[in-house]
Amino acid sequence: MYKKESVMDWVNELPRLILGAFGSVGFGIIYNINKKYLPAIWLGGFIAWLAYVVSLRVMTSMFMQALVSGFIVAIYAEIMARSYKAPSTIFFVASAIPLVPGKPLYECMNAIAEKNMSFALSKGIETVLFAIGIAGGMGIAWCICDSIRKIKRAGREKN
Amino acid sequence: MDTDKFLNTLIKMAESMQNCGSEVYRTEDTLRRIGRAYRSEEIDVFVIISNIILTLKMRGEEAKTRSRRLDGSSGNDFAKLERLNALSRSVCAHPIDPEEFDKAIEEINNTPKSDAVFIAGSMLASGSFAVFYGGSVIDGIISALIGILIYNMQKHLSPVCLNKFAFQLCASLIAGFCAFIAIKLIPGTHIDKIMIGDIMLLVPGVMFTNAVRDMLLGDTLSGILRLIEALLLAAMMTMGFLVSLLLAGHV
Repeated sequence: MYKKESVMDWVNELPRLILGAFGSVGFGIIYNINKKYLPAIWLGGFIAWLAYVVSLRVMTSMFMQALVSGFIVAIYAEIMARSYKAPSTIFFVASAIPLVPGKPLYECMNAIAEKNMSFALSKGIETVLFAIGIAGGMGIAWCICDSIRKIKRAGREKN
Repeated sequence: MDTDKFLNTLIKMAESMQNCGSEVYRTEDTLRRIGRAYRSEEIDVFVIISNIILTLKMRGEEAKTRSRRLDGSSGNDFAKLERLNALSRSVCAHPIDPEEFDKAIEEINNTPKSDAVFIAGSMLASGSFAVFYGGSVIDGIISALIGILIYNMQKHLSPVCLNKFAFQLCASLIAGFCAFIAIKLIPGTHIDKIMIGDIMLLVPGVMFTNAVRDMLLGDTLSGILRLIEALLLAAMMTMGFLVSLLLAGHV
């Protein structure tokens, strides 16, 4: 019973996943990214939102959801950068776009407009925390990737 | 080799990289590598988002310093960044004449960009995010149309604005106002969904990630400057959209 429901949930989530990924491609075009990377950007946007949707079901803390999603996108960007031999920023920046907390920011603004200050405050904190979470997640990923690179280089120099 | 000319070329390289959205670390590292490839005795580079200071000492010469004030270093042009990256790699492997190097940078800087592609990108981004956050197809189309407007404002309005904060305020005010008019004229549309699509276009998300990246890579000062800039831009954008939301609540 539970399983069937969750399968339906996933089917309902699919159009959003695909759309969010196209949003990433749109930003890829705005940032003038080389056309041959656009499929990778699409997949990156897809993975970003997928990571968020999965973490939404596994974790309760919003900060941790952001952290894990940011981490996964950053790892994806690093892998793509290695395989295409291009700067990883290119892949990261556009892929992470669906994670940008535009919705809580809007809700915060709307609450201010409706003079619902406590709701505005909680949404504002949510926006900031989410942004910090993504930044933290990608920071952890970069640290790990950088260390791996240095360890590999040290190993190569020894041989 | 003329050290003065070479210094100018290096500064131009750094400026071009900063203007197309490179991290400070990448810019500094590139310049150091090029300096070493051209057999300079010492090369010192210090870049923050608004300034470049470069000191170069060639063998048997006095050390020379050049600095440059940067403005408008918030654009992102990754195709250009990639080409500059490739150029620096090839130059490091086989140092070419500084004048040729200079010409190559100029050529990359002067590559024209086509408007149509960027308009398509803006439409795709704002439209798909409006639908992504639960809007209808009409919401998506309106959001995409406002996306075109935002692109045109970025092109024509930002040069006449005092600074980017003023521009951000103007752009979000106008975009929000258009969304407000659209929901009044067309029944069944949602102001929240339309606005979210356009917020995504204006939100300084990339700047925020770049700020964090700069700080993690050790350029704390640049990171802080960029972070504050991003926060101010976000605040300006919020104010701009807030006006039309207040309007929507009262009219």
